[in-house]
Amino acid sequence: MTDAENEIELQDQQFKQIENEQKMFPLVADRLPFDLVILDYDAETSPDYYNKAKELANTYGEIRQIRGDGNCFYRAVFVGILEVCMKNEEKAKQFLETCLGWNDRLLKLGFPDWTTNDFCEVFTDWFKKVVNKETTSEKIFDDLNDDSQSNYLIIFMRLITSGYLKEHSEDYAPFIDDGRSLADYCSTEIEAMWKDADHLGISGLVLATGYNIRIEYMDRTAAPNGGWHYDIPADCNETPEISLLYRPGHYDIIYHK
Amino acid sequence: MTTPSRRRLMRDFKKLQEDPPAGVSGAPTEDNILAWEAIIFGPQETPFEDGTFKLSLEFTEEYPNKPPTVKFISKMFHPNVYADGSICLDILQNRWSPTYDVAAILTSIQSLLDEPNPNSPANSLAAQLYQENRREYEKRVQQIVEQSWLNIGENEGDVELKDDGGDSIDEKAVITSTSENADAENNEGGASASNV
Repeated sequence: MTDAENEIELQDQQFKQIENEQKMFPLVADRLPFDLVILDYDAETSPDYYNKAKELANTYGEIRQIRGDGNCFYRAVFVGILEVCMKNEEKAKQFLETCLGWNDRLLKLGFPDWTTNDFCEVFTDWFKKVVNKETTSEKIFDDLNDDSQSNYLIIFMRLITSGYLKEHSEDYAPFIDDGRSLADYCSTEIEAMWKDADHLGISGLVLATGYNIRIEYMDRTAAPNGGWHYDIPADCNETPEISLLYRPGHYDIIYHK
Repeated sequence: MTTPSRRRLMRDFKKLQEDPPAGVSGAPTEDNILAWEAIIFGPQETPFEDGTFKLSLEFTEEYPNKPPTVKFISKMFHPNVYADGSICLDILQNRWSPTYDVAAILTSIQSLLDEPNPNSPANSLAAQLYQENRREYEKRVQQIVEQSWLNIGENEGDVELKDDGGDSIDEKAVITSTSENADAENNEGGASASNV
């Protein structure tokens, strides 16, 4: 083997190892007390994080951890939307309409028709069962924790994110700084699995689904409103129903007390 | 149980049969929907013309989130194909998109045959000859084109080499035998898919 091949081999092994480590963690964990987050930090050695966690514990009672596999943002938002829809039939129907509408919107944008139809169909068929209450919460979370099932649904989330960005290419293209086209960016960063969402991905998914979100930041940045959170979109009037906790490189879902 | 990847592979197969792209064919093997065999015909008016190249495609339950592992089984001489038949093609690695299907994979490999990328050589001799001695390159390609007819026969237990490039006969035999089996599985997949 040449050096280059050896290097690729080594890289592959490392990726495989990281992947196996990730898979020890559930894709979508159960809801657990938010105090767990405080336990992650030591009051002596990392007082900033510790204090932020304590402060957030006043507002948030629970956390649902999501596997850190590069899909965590998409998965967290998707689970957040599902939980809203499981409690509110009207909203479930509304979200189903949005999703059904995306099939044509994606085709209009030139997504390959056959595979796109397949992703849309699998997603909407699955979601219809949630809307029509033909499934149980247990089954829903089983599906969400089955790699193959769950990731097929996540692709739909990625496709509509890409679709939204492409529908508004004039607004988003200027944010891509390395000279790539928006289409190129979407295919390598948004549609490709296991790629973390950056601010375009975040904005695209929120606007494509119609679900506003609040992100509480656990890093060292302070948000403009004096607290730690950002609402997306920034001008949304009501407190978003879905809150995420951001810790460097990762998103989990958190729940108000 | 029909998983989304298996269901999707059955649909890929159905589409390949109903709407076959020119010059490629593929089908799952007898008892495993995750293991496919495919044939790519060398594009016309290229040195690969008349070649019938056999490939294997190995899918995992993570398809289409992850691409399959694709290898030439027939001997290949090409700047972007390694000695073991592995293919260096961006869409099978870092530029994979879940929106690609089997037809898209096979047609991309088919176009790669005559449009090699000498900047990422997997076979340095082929890359060098392609750039510096096209005549010799084409001679080498001609050799593997002729070998491709032989390999098809061998794999079907028919070692007799057809003298008139009779690749089409053996070739069809391969495809028919695999598609019958896959059809059986197809029905099964269709039945369970409707339960979803």
